[in-house]
Amino acid sequence: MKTKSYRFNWSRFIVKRVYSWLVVLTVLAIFHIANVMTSDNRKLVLQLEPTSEKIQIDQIGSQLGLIRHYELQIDSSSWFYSLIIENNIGLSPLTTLVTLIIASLGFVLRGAIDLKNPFSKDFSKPIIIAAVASLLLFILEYLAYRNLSQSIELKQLDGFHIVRTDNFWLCFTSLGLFWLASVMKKGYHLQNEQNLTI
Amino acid sequence: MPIVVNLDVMLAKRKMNLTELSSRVGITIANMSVLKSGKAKAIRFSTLDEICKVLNCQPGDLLEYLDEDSYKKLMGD
Repeated sequence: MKTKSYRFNWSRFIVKRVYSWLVVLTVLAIFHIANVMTSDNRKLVLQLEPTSEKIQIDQIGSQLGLIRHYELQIDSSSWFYSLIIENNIGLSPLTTLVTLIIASLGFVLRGAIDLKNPFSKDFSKPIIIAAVASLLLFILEYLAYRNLSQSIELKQLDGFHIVRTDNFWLCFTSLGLFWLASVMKKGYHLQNEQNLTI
Repeated sequence: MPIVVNLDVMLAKRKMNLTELSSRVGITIANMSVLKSGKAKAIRFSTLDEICKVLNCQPGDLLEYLDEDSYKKLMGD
């Protein structure tokens, strides 16, 4: 009796999971943005830290301590800040969108690039678009946090300061993508020249 | 690039067609056509050597430098 050997296809398994993750991310981004744009009462939640000491711990036993976290809630803020500043699950709608763009780009390129001949087409333009999107988001996020924390701290916050969550990964991703785009462009140029060398 | 390939002139002089030349030189007719139409970015010395051998000519008979204006006129730009 012959037995049929079964090999688990890991790459197919991973691709399927990543595709479903992308679908979830798309729904989340659309929901996020629609929620921010349509809601009348937009609430921003910012993490605060005491200025005097970094983390305040209340000892409730010999080996137990309660860490105090402070959050500042701002009602009816503008949709601009709501789109950029992270919410309490650590994602801003625009960050979700840019992550989605970069992830989708990765998947599109994975399917489009022929690994035996990677420079047969010029893929630098979509990569540059993703790089510009992530760099713009990084700058917008930086400016939004800076403006918001300056305007609040000057007026109300005594003894506290706002914990800024700078998404430096966006900046590094952007630099990486710019580098990749330049490599792809140069590669395409060289490949084209090679193809037209008789 | 104002370098003109006068392959068609040499072919006419030697009464040879592109198919025969490509088979004798040993490169595909598609590549020979790219060279003849002036779309080629570069030419290998080995290819030039083979073409000159088959057509019994000098590289200067095949390649010609034109100034920008003459080149634009020739290309109809």
